[in-house]
Formats: sequence, C-alpha cells, structure tokens
Amino acid sequence: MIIVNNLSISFGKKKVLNNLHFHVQQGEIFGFLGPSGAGKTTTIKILTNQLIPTKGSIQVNASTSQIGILSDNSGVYERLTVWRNLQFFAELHNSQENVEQILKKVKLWDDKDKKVKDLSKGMHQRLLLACAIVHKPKLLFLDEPTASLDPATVEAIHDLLLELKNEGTTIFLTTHNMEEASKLCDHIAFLNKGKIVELATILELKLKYALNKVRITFNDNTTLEVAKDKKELIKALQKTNASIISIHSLEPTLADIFLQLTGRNLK
Amino acid sequence: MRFYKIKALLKLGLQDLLKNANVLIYIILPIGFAFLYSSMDTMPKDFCFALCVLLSLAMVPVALMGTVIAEEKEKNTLRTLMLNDVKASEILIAKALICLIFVVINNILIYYICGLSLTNFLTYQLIGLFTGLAIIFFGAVVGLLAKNQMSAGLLSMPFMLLLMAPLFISMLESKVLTKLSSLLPTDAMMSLFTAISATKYTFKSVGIPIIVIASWFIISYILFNIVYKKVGLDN
Repeated sequence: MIIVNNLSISFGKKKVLNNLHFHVQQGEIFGFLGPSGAGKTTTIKILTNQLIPTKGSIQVNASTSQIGILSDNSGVYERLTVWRNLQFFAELHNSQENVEQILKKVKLWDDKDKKVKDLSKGMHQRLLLACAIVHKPKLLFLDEPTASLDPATVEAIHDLLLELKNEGTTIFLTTHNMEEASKLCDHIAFLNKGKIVELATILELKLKYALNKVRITFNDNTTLEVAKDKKELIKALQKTNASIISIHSLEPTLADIFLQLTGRNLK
Repeated sequence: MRFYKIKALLKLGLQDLLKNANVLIYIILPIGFAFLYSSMDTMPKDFCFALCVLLSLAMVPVALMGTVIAEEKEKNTLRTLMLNDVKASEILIAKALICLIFVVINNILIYYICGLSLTNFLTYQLIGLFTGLAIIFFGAVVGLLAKNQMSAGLLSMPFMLLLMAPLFISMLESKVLTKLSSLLPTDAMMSLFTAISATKYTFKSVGIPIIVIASWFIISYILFNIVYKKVGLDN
C-alpha cells in the first residue's frame, strides 16, 4: 500500500528525516514509533502530500479520496453539532456510509446533538476519527490518535481500529505509546532522530531482543532472575528450600528495545 | 471542479455563518444603518440606498470573505478540508457564493428599508451584485494573507477604507480627490445609481462606470492570483 525509499527531508540545515525505507502492506496496522520530535508527523505530512521531500521516492497506492487522516491539525466546525459535522464530511465524499452507524461505532450517538465546542477532549477525538473514516478509506493515517486521552476512550479507539483493520483498512499509526503499538500493530518501525533504527513484527522484535532470562517466583514471595541455561537454573534452585510458584521467561517491552537501540526513552 | 463538494461547503458555510456572531455584524450593520438613515427626513431615498449598499459592499465581500477564510485556517478546518480531497478553488468558490448571497440579501433589504420604488429594483440589484463580484477577490486576498480572524479584520481595513472613500471625498469638495474617487468601483456604482435614477443613459454616466467596475474585477482577480501563487490558500 505504501512504498518508501530513500526518503529524506531537511528544514534549513536541519535534517529531519534521513534515508527512510519501509513498505506498508495492504490491510495491516503499521506502527511508527518514536519519541516526540523524531519525525513521525513529518513522515505523515510527506505521505499525505503536505510536504515535499528533499530526496527519495514515495508510492501511496490510494487516491486522495481513498485516504483518511487524523492528526493534531485536524479540525471540525465548533458551532455545529456532532451529527452535522459528520454529515458534512459524508457529503464531501459523496459517501453512502450511514452517519448513524459511524456515530454508534465511535460511541457518540447519544451526543449527536451536542455542539462540538461542548464536547470533552475524548469525544472530540472520537468525532475526528469518525470524520476520518466516514468515507470508508482504504488507507488511514493516524497521528498519535490516543495521546492524553482517558483509558476508556483509548480502549474504544483501539477496538474501532482493530475492527477497521478486519474490514481491510490499512492503518499507518504513529505513537509513542508502546502498549498501544504492541496491541495493535503488525509491523513496527522505530524512528529515532529521523532514522529508522529497527523495523520488524512484534514477535521478531521480541525474539531478536529477548533477554534470555527466566524469572522464578517462590512461595516465600522471593523472585529470582536466572539465565535460560539448564546448569544455571539447577544451581539457582539448589540454593533455596522454597517451593516454586511460577517460572516465566522475561520478554523485553518495546520500550526496553527502544532504550537498548537508542539509549533514550520513548517519551 | 465537483459541484457536490461546493454544494456541501455552501450548505455548511451558510449554517456556520448564521451561528457566528463575530461575522454576522458585517451583515447586520449596513441593515441597521439603512433603518437609521431611512428614518431621517432630510435623507433622500436614493442616497440612503447608495450609502448603505456601499457600506454593505465594503463589509460583506471584503471583511466577511476574509474573516471566514481566516477562521478556517485558525480552527484547522481548512487543512482538514484539503486533506479530505477538497480543492482550494472549491473552497474559495463556496466562500465567494456565501458572501454574494449575503450581498444580494442585504441589497434587497436595504432597498426595501430605504423605501425606493420598484421601478429600478432589478437594475439596482444587478449593479450591486456586479460591484460585489468586482471586489470579492479583495476579500479572498485578505483571507489568503490573514492567519486568524483578528488579522483578517486588520487586513480588511485598508480595502474597506478605499471602498468607502467616495463617502468622505464627497464631503471634501476637492476636484482632484473627486476625480480619483471616480476611479473606485463603489464610486462608479453610485454614479450608476444616480444615472439610472435620473434616467440619464450616456456613455459618461453609464459606460464609464461600467468600465471602471469591470476594470476593478480584473485588477482584484490579478492581485488575487499573484497572492495565491505566492502564499497559497493554506499557508
């Protein structure tokens, strides 16, 4: 759906994106992870023709009318109601999609007659998402869609994104929330200072950066972290008389992997 | 150009504008003045009409047009529209149509309030609309340059003063200024009203004002194109 080769962009002397290569498959959720200022939004702006790259090529296999975008630059008409806003975006796309159905999907049906200026931040974000999907886009760009939202709203948005993915929508998601990326994404690219430092599936990442350790929990409430080695394990167990409650292999989180790769946190 | 998009933008724009007190003032003020002037016994009906239409033309196509475009930028809806496959030309046409609708409504109301006879109704309305069309691009230029509603208000000031200049110049009795004023579209419009009211149809009284207004249409269109090429709609 998206093919990016050699993509670079500079603002003045500052190189914001440096030689990015990635492919996004049709029907997948592609996570673009990185801390603030890493170049995530700039990448979306290039992919949606809001910025022209300094170098490289991009191929987006969807026409403008088949793309939906939700970013922190998205806006709706504050003096009008939720219903009227969504109806307007449906009219703009000549969309046959049912406005009522979409409002129910984003859980805004009960608030359809509220003016946008009276909505909470979470409701506002859900309306923006509804406007972005009202024309059933083939490709959806989401720039930090759940940033600073309450857990219930985040959960609702995640469910909706998975539903859209199951319906065949390709989603390009930027986030610095590792849990979100773990839950939703098929492929993940780590972006740091304008460069992709890793690109893989969640499973590939976890295997590649496995800590090679197990955590043993004993019935006296003590825990022990031991290397995944038979001899080491036996040696450790011989040192205690307590009974084993559980043995779990230790898996790195995406934040651990990012930290390992870049030496900085994903915030 | 896709008409269903312009239709959607037009419908929404009208609804939104009617709920926006900040810009409704540009529409209501000339009507208020029409009520005020028409209640003065010393004010000739034709002059009352010309004065209020001039005020309306300085406000609606320029300040209103500029402000509604600037607000779309300020609230990020302009960017959202353009990312939703709406072309800049479609947005500008819809905004211009909204303003021209209010130019016509205002002119009809002012005509009625000033109590003019129905004889010249259609001609006066056509002249008002023709002048509105000639200066609507100034409003678009204001919209292109302004980053928010406040700056749109400031940027429209010189255009509004220029368009209202015939009012002040007529009080000064300066031949040079009167000559210069006759080159303004609003002055030409007032000359046309006078000619039609006096049924005096000569080249000087009708032909020249029409040429002046048409020239302003070309000038404002050229200016709009220069600014548009330089800054674009969503700068």
